[in-house]
Amino acid sequence: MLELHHVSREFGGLAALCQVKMVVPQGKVVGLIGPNGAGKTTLLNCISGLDSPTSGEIIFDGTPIHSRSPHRITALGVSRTYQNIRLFKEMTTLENVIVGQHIHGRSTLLHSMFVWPYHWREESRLKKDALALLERFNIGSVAHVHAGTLSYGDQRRLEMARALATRPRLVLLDEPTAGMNAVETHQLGEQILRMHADGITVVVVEHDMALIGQVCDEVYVLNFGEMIANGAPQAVKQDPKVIEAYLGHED
Amino acid sequence: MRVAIVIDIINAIFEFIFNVLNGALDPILTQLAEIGFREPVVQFMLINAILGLSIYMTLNCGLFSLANAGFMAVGAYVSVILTQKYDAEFGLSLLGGALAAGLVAIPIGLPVLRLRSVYLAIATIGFGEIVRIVVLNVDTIATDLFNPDEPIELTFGARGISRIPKLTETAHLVFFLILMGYLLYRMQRSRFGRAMTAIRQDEKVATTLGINVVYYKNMAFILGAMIAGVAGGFSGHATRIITPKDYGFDKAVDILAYAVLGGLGHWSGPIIGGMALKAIPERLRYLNEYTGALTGAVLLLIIIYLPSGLVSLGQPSFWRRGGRFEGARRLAGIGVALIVLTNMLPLRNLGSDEVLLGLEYWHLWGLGAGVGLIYWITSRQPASTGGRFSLPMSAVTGLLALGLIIAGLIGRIDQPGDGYYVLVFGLLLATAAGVIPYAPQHTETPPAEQVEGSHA
Ligand SMILES: Nc1ncnc2c1ncn2[C@@H]1O[C@H](COP(=O)(O)OP(=O)(O)OP(=O)(O)O)[C@@H](O)[C@H]1O
Ligand SMILES: [Mg+2]
Repeated sequence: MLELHHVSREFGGLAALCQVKMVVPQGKVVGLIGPNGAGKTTLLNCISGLDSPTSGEIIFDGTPIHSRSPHRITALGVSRTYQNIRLFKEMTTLENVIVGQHIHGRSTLLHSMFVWPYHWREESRLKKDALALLERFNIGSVAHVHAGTLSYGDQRRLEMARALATRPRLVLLDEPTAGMNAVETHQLGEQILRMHADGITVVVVEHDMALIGQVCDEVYVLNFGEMIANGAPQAVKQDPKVIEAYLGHED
Repeated sequence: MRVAIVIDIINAIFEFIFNVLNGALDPILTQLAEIGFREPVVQFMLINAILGLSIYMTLNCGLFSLANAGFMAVGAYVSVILTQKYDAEFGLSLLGGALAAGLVAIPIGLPVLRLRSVYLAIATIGFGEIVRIVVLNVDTIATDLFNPDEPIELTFGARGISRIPKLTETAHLVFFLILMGYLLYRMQRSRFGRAMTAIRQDEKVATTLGINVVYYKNMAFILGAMIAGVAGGFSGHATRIITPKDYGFDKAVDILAYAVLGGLGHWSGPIIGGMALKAIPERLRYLNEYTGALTGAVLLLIIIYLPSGLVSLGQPSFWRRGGRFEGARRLAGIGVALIVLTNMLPLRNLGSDEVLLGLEYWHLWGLGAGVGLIYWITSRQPASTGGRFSLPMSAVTGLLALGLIIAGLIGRIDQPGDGYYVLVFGLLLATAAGVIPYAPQHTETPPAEQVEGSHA
């Protein structure tokens, strides 16, 4: 589904990503771990088109996407969340999700100006779908509250709901459980498994190894921009290179 | 000659619409005329309101563009030339002005909209200057190029076009504003409008949600240009003469001030702001040379106490419980807003020092300024909401306001208008530097990010 070939990204002299190779098979949940500053977010930025690699290729479903603009990548079926929550704070929870459905609407300015029946049908359809998504993430009760006033956990859940609103085939999650307690983290893991059950491919950046163990089929480990290991979660944990990367980072 | 027939047909249609409208509205209009509805001042207030909408279109999409004065010039010249030279019906000439402005906006927008914030502002000021220079020189160049024997006269260079028929009626302006109000009302509840709001709030997130940012920015720019073009057409036919300098840098900054004064939380903000910025100087005319300084002072007070503009009074977040000094800040904000709004109230005899509720106007002014200053001195904390106003900046603006009020009162600023533009320019710089939010702000504090274990 997603293939990265020799992807590098340099900021000035610093190589945030160096010849990264990665294969994400259709329908799998793939974890991406690594110490702070390893380049995980940079990798997700490159896939979603916010950033582009200095060299290398990113292929999604056979289509090269490394030089496409982000909105066209989204149209192909890639969606993401952000490590530092980036909701539209002045919109309501519901509006955030409805904006996420942008590519599934057809209504234009003229439709809405002349109050075309088509416009109403589409609006009510989008609203219904959005509310269903909110219910799925247990935030239906705060649908009409400004997103900026939501609790931290709810904001994280809303980010995921908004990412799903584009009806993606591949979802990139950047530390979706940061700042959550163990119970909330586990619940979020169930949500990821539900996406998996719906046939969505997931790449999840995480520090929480319990969550990685709960949801991932395979884990990639990034350290100083290099992919140092990959494999099943249990195997990767015991890999001496991985242990060294984490320990080496501690001191 | 086929063109002439088409123009005739369109003319007839417009004439019919106008006749029907005039017939239906006549009784109401005569009543309104009694209270000064047809005064030129009122017409210019309404034209300002249209300009406010045009800048709202762009700011609402996160575009800090100062091109609207330039588009207004395009609209004014094209529509005046259409009525004067080609005897077009007024409605048709307005449409022509709007389309011309929109067409000019397309090649300007494509490259320029890649720039952000201050850079965009600078580039668009440049555009305004280009329009002015083109208008100044188009006659000479056209004559040289096409017809050296007989001079071509379109814009009449620096002299401007004079003896323009006065066709703008207050009713037309009201009708157009209602139409635009409806359009914006519908827009904000549509997929189109939501995409624009999303782009303003976080452009990058918007693109990863599949929104074509370049397309929407250009649409906002073009629509804003067309609205400014219509405003230009109206203003051209409200005065008897237009010259290139009517649409220069002054005007560009002035239009931005409408949005700042009125606020962007709602599309009615720039409308109110535009009307107020016509009414206030007019109301203060009896102060002669102090008019500009005092108008500027009001603008500053609004920025300090109602940083999201006059419309923030209508937003729930303004009334929510706040910190220790919220009460005083709120009071000051309401005070200043009252001053602005009461100055807009009676339409007739603007410019005379009549009394309201037994108070001379300057009493009201003093009251508002006094409340504001007392609060500012006692609070010694950032006066604004939204968190972008840092303490030193708020102190600087406060001092500036104080200085200007004093300077205005003891007569240090001699040239009418000067003080005002100095102030507005400072305001523009502050906005550009991100000190003054030009996007709607809410007072909620954002949740602490990345606090381990913090949750509901
Ligand atoms: N826009 C940028 N300009 C310059 N350097 C950058 C930029 N973005 C990231 N970097 C650098 O690239 C490296 C990788 O950063 P990245 O954010 O991808 O790490 P990460 O693995 O997501 O870390 P964390 O676990 O802290 O989120 C870091 O050294 C960072 O300083
Ligand atoms: Mg990161």
